[in-house]
Formats: sequence, structure tokens, C-alpha cells
Amino acid sequence: MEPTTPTAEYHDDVVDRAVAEVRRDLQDRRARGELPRLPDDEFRSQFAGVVESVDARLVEEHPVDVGGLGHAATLPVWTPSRTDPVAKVVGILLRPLMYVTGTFVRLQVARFSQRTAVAVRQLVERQEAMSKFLAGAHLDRIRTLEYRVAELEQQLDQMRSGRP
Amino acid sequence: MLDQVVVGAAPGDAITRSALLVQGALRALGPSELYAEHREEHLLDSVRSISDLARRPNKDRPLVFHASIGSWPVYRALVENEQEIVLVYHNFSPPEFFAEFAPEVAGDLIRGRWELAQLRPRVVASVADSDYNAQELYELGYSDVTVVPPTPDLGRLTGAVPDPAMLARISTWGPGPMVLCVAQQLPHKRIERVLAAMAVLQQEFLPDACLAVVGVGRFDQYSRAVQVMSRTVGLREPHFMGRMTDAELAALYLRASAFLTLTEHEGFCVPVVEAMAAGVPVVAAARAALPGTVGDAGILVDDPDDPVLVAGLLHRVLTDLHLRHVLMGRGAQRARSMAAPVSLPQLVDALLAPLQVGDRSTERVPAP
Repeated sequence: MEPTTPTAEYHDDVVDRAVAEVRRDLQDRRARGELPRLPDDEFRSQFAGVVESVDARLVEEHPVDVGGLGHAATLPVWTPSRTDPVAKVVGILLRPLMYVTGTFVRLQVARFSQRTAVAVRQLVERQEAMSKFLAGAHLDRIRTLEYRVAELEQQLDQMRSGRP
Repeated sequence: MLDQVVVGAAPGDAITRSALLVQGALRALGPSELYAEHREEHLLDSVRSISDLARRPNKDRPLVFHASIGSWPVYRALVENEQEIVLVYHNFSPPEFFAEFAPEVAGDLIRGRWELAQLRPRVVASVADSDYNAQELYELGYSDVTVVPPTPDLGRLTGAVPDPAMLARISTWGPGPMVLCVAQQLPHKRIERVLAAMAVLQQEFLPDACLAVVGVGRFDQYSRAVQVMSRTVGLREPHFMGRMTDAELAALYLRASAFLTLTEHEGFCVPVVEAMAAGVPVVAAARAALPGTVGDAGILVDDPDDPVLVAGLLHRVLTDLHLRHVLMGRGAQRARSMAAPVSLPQLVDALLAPLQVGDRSTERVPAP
């Protein structure tokens, strides 16, 4: 969007004069290579990089906790009361049935559970690789300005030393 | 006397404040109600639901419509109402800023322009709160637009006793100058520009300067990006204050050394006028309606994307005593010329203009 009024023009007004002086000083310092000049649209693209990194959950997000997914889940079983004689008898009668049921369920679930754990681990590994790549790309973007400043400083040194 | 419609009514919203002030003035002349589609809890008693519009008390008189965003329920209610409309245009933000963060809001903003074009044959008078907004209305085919400032209620801050707890909190921020930015965290407000400029100010000019940003975040994605940006640019301890009471905001204005806004789009910008009234020098982006609001009473930056330039100007404002005094003097004068005691009667007169002269010639609107 184009600015609607210029502030660069010099008028005999204390405010305009102050603005013009600041601009002139800035121009001089940039001409001497003391301050970098932000390339057109650089600021917008820098912030777009930040928005992308937030969008991709590269920042302020804790890594997914996959601890405990490597083994099959432990299934809690019903245990009879040690003091109630009736419950004790029921427990003894049910024990073989519970053993058979438990074995059957574990056989059914184990393969699926292991495959799920492997799939989650693979997903997390891929997510980490992607995060690493995107974080690198984001940092490159952030560092662009620093690289440009370094280039300017290098050119300035070359000019001062009379080297081509 | 006259009834008004706004799309959304919220306690800190400048349009709601203006509509409520107008309602107070109109009620001195007769019954007057305010209707809205969205109403925050604190305003349920003073603002009625748009679904009650059919039962409004002034059915035989034009309806005042404050336009700021498109809304299908409000548009439908206005069409079904079949009454003439007095339009008060507060501007629609450019939809492109919202496309990424809130596409549904972008859609409402696009549709809002279409709705204004459809309503035009029924509009008997149109008011804009800045020359910039008037120009937009002309582009939409309107004519004879009256320009009146949006009745900033400066007394709520200048008359408030600064909150002691907030003053104590500010005193822990260190002895350096405090730069204040009052703006909702919305994409077109470009809060990231403020953060970058303040980082340069701290790193190049005034290491002990600090920043306070007042305003609620509307979109989580943008607010989080702003928070991340504040760390990425190396800004030291920014203070994000969220929603404030009048007394808390008065405390911030009391301690602020400069007011900074680098928004890309504004239909008027009431906080700038509040800062000027509080004697705080203003540095603002020369964008949209801001040059008209600030005038010669502040510093306008024609390249707000250059944080070094903004920081240099801020440094000058914070350290040049003569410049500060000139800006404060001009600011106070400009704020007075726009404040509600001056602008509210003008606005109410403009709203009443379509009525017959005999209806109002014997009655004057009292100043708030």
C-alpha cells in the first residue's frame, strides 16, 4: 500500500525539521555502511517466516512423548478379596477361566499393539526430521539479514583496504 | 428519536462507545435504542438483540446504521425493516489481511462492501468519521458524505484516577522511557513492526527503553506469531497487557513517554487521539486515515517497514525536549478539537439532518 503523505520533504517546521534530520542522519550512516538497508519486502517475508513456523508448530510445542509405547499394555485383572471367604471361592473358580481369556486376548491384541507402536515411532521420527528441516529453513530466513550485514561489512573492508 | 444498529457491541470497542454516546444524546430528545447482532455480556442491558429490531420504538423514522463489517443477519434485518437508513461508515478493514488468519472474517469484509452497495438506494444521509472513509464511500457510489470525528470519549481516561496497582507494576519496569502501543492484535495493525522498531531502539539508541502493548488478541495464530517475533528480534521484556480498565489505561498513559502505532490500515484510530489528550507524543505510520487523524500533532512515518527509521524517530521524540513540548501542545489542541464535547453534537446534527427541520430546530443536543 502506498503512503499517503511524504515525511521526507523539508519544511520550516520544528516537527518536519526533526524528521528530516533523522532521515538525513540515517541516510548518511547507511551510505557509510554503518547500518544495513532492509531490502524491499524483507520485513514482511521475515514475519511470514515466523507465522509459518508457528503454523507448523515448530515453536512452543513440546515433542510428542512416546515413552511406554514400545511394550504391550498391561491389562489389570480382577482379584478377589482376601478376607471375604465367598469372594475367595469365586476367585478360585474363575481363575482358570480368566487365565484362558487373558491368553486369548493377548494373542489377539499383541500383534496389533506392536504394529501400532512401530507406526507411532515411525511417525514421530518423520515428524522430527521434518521439524529439523523446517527449523533450518526458518533459521536461514531469519539469518538472511545477518548475512547481508556481513556482506556489507566485507565490502566496506575491501573498499577501505583498496582491494578490488 | 432515532434507533441505531451496530454489528457487534463490546465494552472497549470505539464504535460501541460512540453509538452509546449518541444514544445518550438522542435520549435527551426522545426514546432511542441500540441494536446489535453480537453483544458482550456487560452490554446485554444497554444493547438490544438485532432480532428485536421489528419492535423498535421509532419505526416511522430512519434507522442509523454503523457499518464496520458485513453481517448477513444485520443486512437481512435492515432489508426487512424497509425504513430509510442513515449510514455512519467506520470503514471496513482490507480483507487480504485476514485471508490467512481468519478467512471467515475476510469473507464478512468482502460481503460488507456488497451490502453497502445494495443498501445505497435506501440511504438518505451518510456520515464518515474521516476524509479517508468518505473517499471510500464516494468510491462505492455515495454522494454528499458528511465527515465528523467518531466522538472519542476522552474524559474516560483524562478523568479517571490512574490505577495504583498498575502504577506500581509499571514502576518495576525500570527507569527507562516507556513506549506505549494501544491496538488489538489484528493482522492489519502490524504489531510486528512495533516490536522490530523497539528492538532497534533498545539495541542502537536507548537500552533501557521498554514497550507496553495494550489490546486483546483476536486470532490465536497471529498473537502467537507476535509473541515469537518479540523474542526473534531480540526485544527485551515486552509487556503484553491484554484488555485494560480505564483506570489501568490512564496509568499507562500517565507513565508513557511516547505512543507508537504502525498499523497498515485505520479508518480513524481513536487511541491516537487519546494519547494526544493524555499529553503523550505520537509516532504513527502514514497509512490510510492516520495522516488525517494525527495532522501536524505527531510524527508520521512514510516507511513503517524500516525499523531503523522508526527507532531513529522514536529516539528523537524521546530525547528532544523542545520537539516533545511542541508535539504535546499540538496534540492536546488537536484532541480537544476532536473530542466528544465538540464532535458529538456535530454527529447528532448530521444524523438528524434527514428529519424535518421542525422536528429538531427547537431542540439542541446537550454536550456529554
